[in-house]
Amino acid sequence: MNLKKIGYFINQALKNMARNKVMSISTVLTVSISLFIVGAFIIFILNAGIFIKTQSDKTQLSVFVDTNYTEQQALAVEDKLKNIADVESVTYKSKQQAMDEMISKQGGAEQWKQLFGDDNPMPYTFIITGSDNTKLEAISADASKIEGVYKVDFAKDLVNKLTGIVNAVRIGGIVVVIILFLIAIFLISTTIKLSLYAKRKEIQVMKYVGSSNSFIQGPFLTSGMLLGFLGAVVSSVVLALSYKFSMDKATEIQFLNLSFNGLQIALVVVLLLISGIFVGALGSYLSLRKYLEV
Amino acid sequence: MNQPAIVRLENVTKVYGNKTIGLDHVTTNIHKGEFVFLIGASGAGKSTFLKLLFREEKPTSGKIYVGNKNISLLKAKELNILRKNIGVVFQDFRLLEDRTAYENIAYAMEVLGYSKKDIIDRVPKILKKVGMIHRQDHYPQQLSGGEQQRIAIGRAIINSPKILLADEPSGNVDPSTAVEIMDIFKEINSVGTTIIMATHDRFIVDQLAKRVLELKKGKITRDQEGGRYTYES
Ligand SMILES: Nc1ncnc2c1ncn2[C@@H]1O[C@H](COP(=O)(O)OP(=O)(O)OP(=O)(O)O)[C@@H](O)[C@H]1O
Ligand SMILES: [Mg+2]
Repeated sequence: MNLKKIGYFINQALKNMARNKVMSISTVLTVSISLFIVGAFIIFILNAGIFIKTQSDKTQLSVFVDTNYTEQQALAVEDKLKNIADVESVTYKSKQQAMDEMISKQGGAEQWKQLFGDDNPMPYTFIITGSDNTKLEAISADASKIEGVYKVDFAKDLVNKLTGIVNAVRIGGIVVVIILFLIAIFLISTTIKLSLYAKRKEIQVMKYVGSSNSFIQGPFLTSGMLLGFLGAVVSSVVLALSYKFSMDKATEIQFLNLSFNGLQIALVVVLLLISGIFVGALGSYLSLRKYLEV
Repeated sequence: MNQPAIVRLENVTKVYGNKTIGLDHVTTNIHKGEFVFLIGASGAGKSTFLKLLFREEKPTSGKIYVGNKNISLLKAKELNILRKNIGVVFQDFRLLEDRTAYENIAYAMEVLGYSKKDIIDRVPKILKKVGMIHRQDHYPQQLSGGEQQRIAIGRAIINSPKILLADEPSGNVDPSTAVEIMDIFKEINSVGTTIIMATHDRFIVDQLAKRVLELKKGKITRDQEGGRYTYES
């Protein structure tokens, strides 16, 4: 395999594609849509994983006191919380602090004012730090039993819920991704089948004069790989742009703890390019095997 | 004949998928430089004989040797080597309609990996050899049957093959053109190329007086040097 031969294959492949522009363009677009969804899916799974990890690494839980408790009563609860086993520290958060924090995170000070006037609907809150995050479940259970504790917020609940959602998305996503890959492979193999048909006379001549198999198949294999590659390039560009855009948005919601990660998107792009070329090669290989007898 | 056999068939039978018999236990030797006519009624197995030689079809049983190689055992990858050494010409020419005479021959060289320089060098020589240099820029549609056949012959000899197979090469041309086409084959044969030609053309067989292999229902019924189309003792 030398450069001259590869140059010839690419040249022929481009001619094949130019000969069948409509089919080639729609194949590239379909491949790019498929790969875009694949890429978006991978990024979602990666980030959901990172998010869940940071949440489950938290060693804190929040205890909310009944809203009708006075500050005095609330402080009495604090002593009981401190007595729970494995509690390392308990931090008190007043109604005002809780309100301020929420407004600084989510904004909307005006609306709160309109809705509640000077009343503060936030409960008194204690932040408990456990000695390590495996103890949180037990601490949470004990804290819930204390009188005056209205609710214990525990990252693990959120983590469990999220993990459930992510798992469902993952299974559904894998099915969708497989279907999309199959569609892309099918379309590429159909495109190659059409170019094989268009060039059947040339192929016949090549066989009779004794062209090597690689010479006969090379241009078609190259066409398929080029179609897949172009689809991957289009999807990568669109994906990188929408990734940038959504990460900028996500950064505004600090709670999500996400930010633009160049390495992450670079990895996904490389993966898409490889998948595109692979899908293209496989699609054309299938057509060649089926329609090109030697 | 003291020349070594370049083509050898040993008990070759070809049964097609639908149980039709193409060749029936055929054994024969063809030597280097021979000119052999395959004759026989329609369906006798002439095309089958030729197709087996360049492995368009595989024998059902028996062995076929081309230049000492059992071609049934060739792997797909080695097949092109066999075909490079065998030129083929068909009754219907099989030229590429969207390419000129020149381009048809150049294309065959291109797909064999010849360099541009070799192509520019060799194509005119081949066109001269088949007497078509003056029509090199014409498309097949602009050429007569005989002229198209000349181009097809030119394409078949780009590799200077040792064997040239022709399946009714004069079947689509008038008698006088057929004679001209035969002159090209004779010339190719005169430099040592083995020619095996299936034909229904009585006039040509009689005039050239070469070896005749007559087939009937897949069997060889006559093998005669300097034979005529119809057997007479
Ligand atoms: N691909 C095929 N599938 C099935 N049967 C075939 C096939 N090719 C040829 N045959 C049969 O094999 C027999 C020999 O055919 P072949 O083409 O070799 O005859 P031929 O001598 O070349 O005839 P013609 O003079 O008409 O060209 C015929 O009965 C034909 O119908
Ligand atoms: Mg025939």
